[in-house]
Amino acid sequence: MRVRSNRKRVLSDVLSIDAWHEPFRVDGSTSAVHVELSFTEGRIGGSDVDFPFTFKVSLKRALLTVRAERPLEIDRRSIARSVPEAEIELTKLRTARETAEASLSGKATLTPALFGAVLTGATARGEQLTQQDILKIVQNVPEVLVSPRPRNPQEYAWELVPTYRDGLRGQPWDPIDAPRLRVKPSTSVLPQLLPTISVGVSCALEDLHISDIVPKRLGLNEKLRKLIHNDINEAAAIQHLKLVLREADLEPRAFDNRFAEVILASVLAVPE
Amino acid sequence: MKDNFLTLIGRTLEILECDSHSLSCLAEMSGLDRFTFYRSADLSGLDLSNQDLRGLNFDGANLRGSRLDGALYDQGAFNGSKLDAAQQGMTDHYDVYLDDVDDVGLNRLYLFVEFRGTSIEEIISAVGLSYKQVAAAAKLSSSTLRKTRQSQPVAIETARSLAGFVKHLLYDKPHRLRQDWTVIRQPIARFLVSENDGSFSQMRRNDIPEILAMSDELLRVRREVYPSTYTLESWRDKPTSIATSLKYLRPSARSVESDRSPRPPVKIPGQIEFKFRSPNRDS
Repeated sequence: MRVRSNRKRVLSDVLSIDAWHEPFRVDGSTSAVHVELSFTEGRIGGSDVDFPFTFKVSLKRALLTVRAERPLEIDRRSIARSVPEAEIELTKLRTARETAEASLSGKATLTPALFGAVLTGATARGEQLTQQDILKIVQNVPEVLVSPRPRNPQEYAWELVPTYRDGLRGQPWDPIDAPRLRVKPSTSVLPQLLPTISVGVSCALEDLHISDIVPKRLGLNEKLRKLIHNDINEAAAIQHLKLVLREADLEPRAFDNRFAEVILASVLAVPE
Repeated sequence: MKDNFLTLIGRTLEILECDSHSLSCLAEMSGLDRFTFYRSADLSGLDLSNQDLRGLNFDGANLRGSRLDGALYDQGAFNGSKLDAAQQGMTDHYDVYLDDVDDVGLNRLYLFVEFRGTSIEEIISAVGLSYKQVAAAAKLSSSTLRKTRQSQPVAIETARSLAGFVKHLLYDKPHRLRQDWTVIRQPIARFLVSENDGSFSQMRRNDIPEILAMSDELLRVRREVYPSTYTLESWRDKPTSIATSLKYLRPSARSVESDRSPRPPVKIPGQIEFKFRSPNRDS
């Protein structure tokens, strides 16, 4: 469908996804399911002549869902757990992020410097962090916090939240070394039509961060454009754009649209 | 379809370059439902002072750092928004919509409903009927209607009768109400639970799906133990007692969520799908 392809082009710049699994075996052993996920923040619409403007997109939060079709069963002991692995560390980082976010005012965004200051307690002591300290924090703290979310026997999900940035960036895990989970068939014979493993990434509408809409139209010079620019109009235009992008491909899940999800990507894991 | 998509995308640019900076006008321009347009929107740091925001709902919207002094708005419009501490005065504790009380899924819980008295008065005054006429039309006694006007707890069945009457006016006799009158689309009530000492405490709307998921589990456990006592139709429980009962009847029921085999939700014969359903139970 053309609309779908149009939307996919928009969101393909926000994340790339690939998924594969080891061949299914009926000898009782399990097969690993690998998901390669990479997030970027980018300017969209530049190369697309259909779009009358360009805009920046990033994700504030996302949910990865892996669903195995029957007769496959998820081996619960094999689920990739939190990143970082120590639960206390995860709680500490999450609390630091929440505190840093709460201290932001207006349109200010979260930065590694602010996050570092909160994490080390420098804000409370009224200190300034040096560039070296910030670099140390960035190197030692994972860029994305990953928390597992059990759904049902056939499905498992992971919530992805940036640690010290405003949007998701980079790879949350090593796709080869850290398979998301392992599956095994519950029957002794595999059906002729092999069961599938679907992998999807979704987010709430408010987690889709769109900014900086710039019209492509010529003839309106930059100075004039800045004069007519208004924050209120921009906020309304961004909200409209989000709703249009969502409606174009949204799989309705909720009864009302208050917390409806945006499906960002949906792929099938291919056999290795 | 692509043309339609591009038309909509083009409208984004029109909103951006529009001379008007009124949130209400810009929502109108979008061609979408202006009432829900700003739900989950990022409106932080904006100067919205003296704007007319009536007819808009801001559930999930971020308004931190925004100036709202002198703005006109419907009561309850900001009850689900992210606000600064200084803006909290624009909210009250009513988080339930008129549509919510109609949800038959709630039949499984002993819930009471408290309406915002001023909104009920406003509705009655807008329809231009006397209290007695409204009570008769809503199939309520005058004293029960008075309770709703005085923000006293009423049974959920009473709330449904009143909601049915308002919806009848809204959808079947819209000439009774002004076209731009959206007060009744805003949060108008709250769910209450009776405590052992006779007092009431609030049950947040967002907590209902989890309570109902637990009630599914409890009903199933009870039917396993006492198959003849607990029928699907007669079963009802206090939300506060569900967790305790589950713990007593099946100690492991809630403790190992990831390893527990979830069961499909219980279907009451003739029941329609209800919105307060845990996302975990979708499949």
